[in-house]
Amino acid sequence: MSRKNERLVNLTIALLATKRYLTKNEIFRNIEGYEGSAESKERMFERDKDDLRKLGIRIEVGGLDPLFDDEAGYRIRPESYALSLRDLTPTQVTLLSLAAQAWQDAAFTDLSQQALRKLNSIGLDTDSSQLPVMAPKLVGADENLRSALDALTSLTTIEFDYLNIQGVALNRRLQVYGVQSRKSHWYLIGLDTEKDAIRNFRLDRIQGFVTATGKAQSYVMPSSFEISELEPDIETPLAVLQVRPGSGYQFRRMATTIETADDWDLLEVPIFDLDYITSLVLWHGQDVIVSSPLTLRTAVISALEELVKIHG
Amino acid sequence: MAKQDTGLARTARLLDLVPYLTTHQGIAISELAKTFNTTIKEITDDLNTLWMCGLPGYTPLELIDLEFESGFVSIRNAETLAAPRALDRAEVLSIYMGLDLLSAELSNTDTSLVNEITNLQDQLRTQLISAPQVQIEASLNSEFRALILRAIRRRGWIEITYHSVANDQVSKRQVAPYELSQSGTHEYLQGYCDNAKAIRNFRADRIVRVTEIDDQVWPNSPVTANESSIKFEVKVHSASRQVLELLPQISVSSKTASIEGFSASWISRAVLSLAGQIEATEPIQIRSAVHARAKAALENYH
Repeated sequence: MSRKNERLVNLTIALLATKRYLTKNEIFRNIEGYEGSAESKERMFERDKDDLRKLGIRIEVGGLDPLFDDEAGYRIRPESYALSLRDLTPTQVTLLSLAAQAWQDAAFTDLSQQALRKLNSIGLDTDSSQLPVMAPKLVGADENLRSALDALTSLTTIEFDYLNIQGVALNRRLQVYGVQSRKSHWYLIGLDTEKDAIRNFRLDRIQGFVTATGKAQSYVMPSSFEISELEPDIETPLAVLQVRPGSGYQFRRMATTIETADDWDLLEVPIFDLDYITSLVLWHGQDVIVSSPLTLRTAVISALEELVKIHG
Repeated sequence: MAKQDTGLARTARLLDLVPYLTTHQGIAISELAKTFNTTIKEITDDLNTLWMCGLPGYTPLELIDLEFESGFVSIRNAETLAAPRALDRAEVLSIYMGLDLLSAELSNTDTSLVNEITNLQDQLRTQLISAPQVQIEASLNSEFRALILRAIRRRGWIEITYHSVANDQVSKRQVAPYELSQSGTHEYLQGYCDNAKAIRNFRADRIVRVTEIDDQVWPNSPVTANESSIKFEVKVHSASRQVLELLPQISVSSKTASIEGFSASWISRAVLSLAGQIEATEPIQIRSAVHARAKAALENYH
């Protein structure tokens, strides 16, 4: 194993140091570790190239001069090998390190530590004097999120079983376009290929594991897709609620307008999800009254009637 | 990126050791092992391997020159590998997302830092095949988390502004924090609450503000019992996803279930919010509390 590692390091050094393309023969002749028959050297070299590529090292093939009957040659461009964030300031290195440190869950520690070592190797001191004291942490980043992010960076379709609103797990296929962490939950957003529509999926509603299906780069992300379109806009319907002063804190946090009065404050709240708003109104009992829309008002009244009936 | 097999992980470590050593001349082998999350033996093996590597020719002129017999490592003649390797795509994306979190938190206070972050994100984005859409919000603000962690370390007190969903109230509590821990998908702050004179668990994402306060006496052995819970029985009319998520003790096939609730107020609100999908059967006090609460709410509409 150690011989092979040695050879891979030597190959990397030679391909990085060369100013021109090295032919296979030059490689076999000059780089230590290529031994045996011509055939076994070939095989070794093919495997080595694959291994370096797996490490994210880009080997450039070239040197085929049409005027001469040249062999193909190989090199690694230092600018593609090395960390390419340029002219970093100590404050920026601190920001990058803090960003990497936010990933503390087991599924991400190897990734985060490797990134931090690379950043530390730049040889710049960090400078946190311009930053508030911060301890960022992304909670709940599990193995499934890791798989989804891998799929997002390689544009690979994923599939998983997802608990629908009736509580039944169904298989879904998704081309991931983005991720969101909102109100303590992770969401995967993308094209549900069976429904042929943009959908979002809450990570903790996935049953079992996220798996890749099909090849990398199997889809293209539409340039028109913007995650911020999932934010409230003028199209989102509003509920008008009467809320008792000093209560309904959750509604106050999401309200777009609040008019205070003695008996009841008047709030306008965006309705992203009618079922969610309905149960939140019910949670608040007699402290919240729905004025409009009628659909919400009716849903709340009939739920209350049902509750009174079954508990009577 | 699939997990690297151990052989390749070793190659990656060898390559990453060179730039790290170049900027950390004289580092102790033990510290190096810790940084690379491995043993002293493994790191020593790595150094012995690197020592055999270099440019073609492989005379002392071309080989990497390593000195580590003293237990402290210095490196020379390793310029070709001295630059840190590029971040791989998974690393780029994770840092990109971490920056998004920082940017959201700094957006109200410091626009120049936000600009620096945007600049970094622009550079990172060019290293991905396709620009991902991310929107990251921390469940607990990073500054508040730093204050809590510092208080835990130095056994200091904090005052938290806490939103209790069960009581629909926001109030200030003086807390001696013990730990932040995760349970299910949520994170909790456990500590001694001076207002309740007992140990309490606070959902981290419902902590609205944290301030450090003058030290009080650290509660020595807070033997006070944990938050009491109330047992109640339910009949399940519909085991929907909403029911399963709010009351994890219920399973898809449950017809009835026995559940521990946090407080009488929480239980009534929870049953109400499920709109008749479950029915509180026992104890009778809970059942009639639900009935009374639903009836009072209904009267608002008459």
